Amino acid sequence: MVNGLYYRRYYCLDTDNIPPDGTPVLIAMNHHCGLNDALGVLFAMNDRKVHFIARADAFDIHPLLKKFMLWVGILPAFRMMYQGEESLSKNDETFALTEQRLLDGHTVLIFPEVRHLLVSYMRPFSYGYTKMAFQAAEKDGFQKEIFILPGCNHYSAYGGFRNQILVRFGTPVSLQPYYELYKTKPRTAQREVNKLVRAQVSALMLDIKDADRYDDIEFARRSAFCDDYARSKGLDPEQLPQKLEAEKRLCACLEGQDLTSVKAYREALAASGLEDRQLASPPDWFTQILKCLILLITLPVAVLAAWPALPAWFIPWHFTKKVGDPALEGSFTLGIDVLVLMPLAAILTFCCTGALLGWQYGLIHVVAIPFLCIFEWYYARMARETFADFRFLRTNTQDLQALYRQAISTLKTLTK
Amino acid sequence: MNIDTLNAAIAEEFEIETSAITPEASIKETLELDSLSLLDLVAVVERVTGTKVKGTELNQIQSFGDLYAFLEQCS
Repeated sequence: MVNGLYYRRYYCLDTDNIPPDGTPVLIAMNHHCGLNDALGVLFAMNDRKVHFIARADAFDIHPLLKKFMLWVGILPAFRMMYQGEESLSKNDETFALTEQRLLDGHTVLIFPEVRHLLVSYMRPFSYGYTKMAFQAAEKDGFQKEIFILPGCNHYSAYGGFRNQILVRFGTPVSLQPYYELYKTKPRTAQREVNKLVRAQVSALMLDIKDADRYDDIEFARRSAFCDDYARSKGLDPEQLPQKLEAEKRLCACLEGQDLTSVKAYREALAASGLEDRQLASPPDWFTQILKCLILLITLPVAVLAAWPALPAWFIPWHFTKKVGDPALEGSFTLGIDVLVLMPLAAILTFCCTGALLGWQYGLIHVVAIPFLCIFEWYYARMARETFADFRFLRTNTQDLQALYRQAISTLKTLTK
Repeated sequence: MNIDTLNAAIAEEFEIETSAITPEASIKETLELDSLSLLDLVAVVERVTGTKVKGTELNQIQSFGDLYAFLEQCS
């Protein structure tokens, strides 16, 4: 239900690599969007309870939330940058609990990059996860085989609704071959395992290694050109796994290359406030007028669908702005909408529509809520794009189009 | 403060070659420091030099040369 409403498509790949329930497994993944990354894994594992670790200050938001988080298996992690140096010793309890959960054959999810960030490169891993896994083994006298399962998550876009999400698992890394090394050189053993895990996560995710050209490469992979590139390689850009493959290939072609023209186009585009899709397929007046007509005709449905679609969009957006962390938009949307707003909206809708028009209509209205929300979000997107396209049509884009052609020519040459 | 003794203690704690510890070398990269191992470095520094330093202070220091200068200042 959550998947269907919130995400357009949810892909979970290579689940055969997940060791069976009852095996001590620690999943290590890249970290883009707070709660969404964790939920992506939870959706993949219906056969077991997955424990994961979250920022300790999230537990202080509300006592009820704290109870809920502990109940679902979330454990607090104290970090120097948020809770101060003195709080780090409190992690011992979390470490001990996690190690016990592992020894009990549970699955633990950890994001070794620590902070979530909306970037397409792999950041340094904190060694907490390898430490936990080895300490768990040590507690048990190195009897149990403990696995670290590398994984990745990837999104078609980070903000808003109806995006695609992909969760993919690598090959489990057994810690057993490193037990002897750990006994004498614990840090070396952790480094060796970390190296293996990182190599797998890097291969699974989109990991742009060229830091100097990162902005240009990231721009290119998000541009309409990347979709064309995917199609030219026989890949469907509408399918996120295939799009990811195309993005990886494109980025590999662009790393270390001269991307001056791409940079010039990217900067000019940002300054103009226009969008790349408009340069790739320029809109025309006829289509825009047609779109306006469609928007007008469907306006009554959009008005009806405004409840609860607009609060479901606006409230999480408001909190995201207040916190100032765009990576939290998805977390707020899922957390507020799914846990609070949608259940509340269903009750209110049933009561109001039921009292006004009859209970059967109340029920129909409640059942229609997900469809109305999806309609409203697409309506809002179409309206936004139509207004943006009108602006494009009224703007002189000759210089920008010249820069666009140069950038595309460079990209075509580099990806031949 | 004896730099060789400090380097030897750091090398032993972090299981790296002493030769990797040079004044120009980056502390974070050489020791692959994260917030947890930063506290281990704090403990080593305190044990060898007797100087109490905060992890947040050490976190700001870039190279081993900067660390020696910082400890020199503290003592």
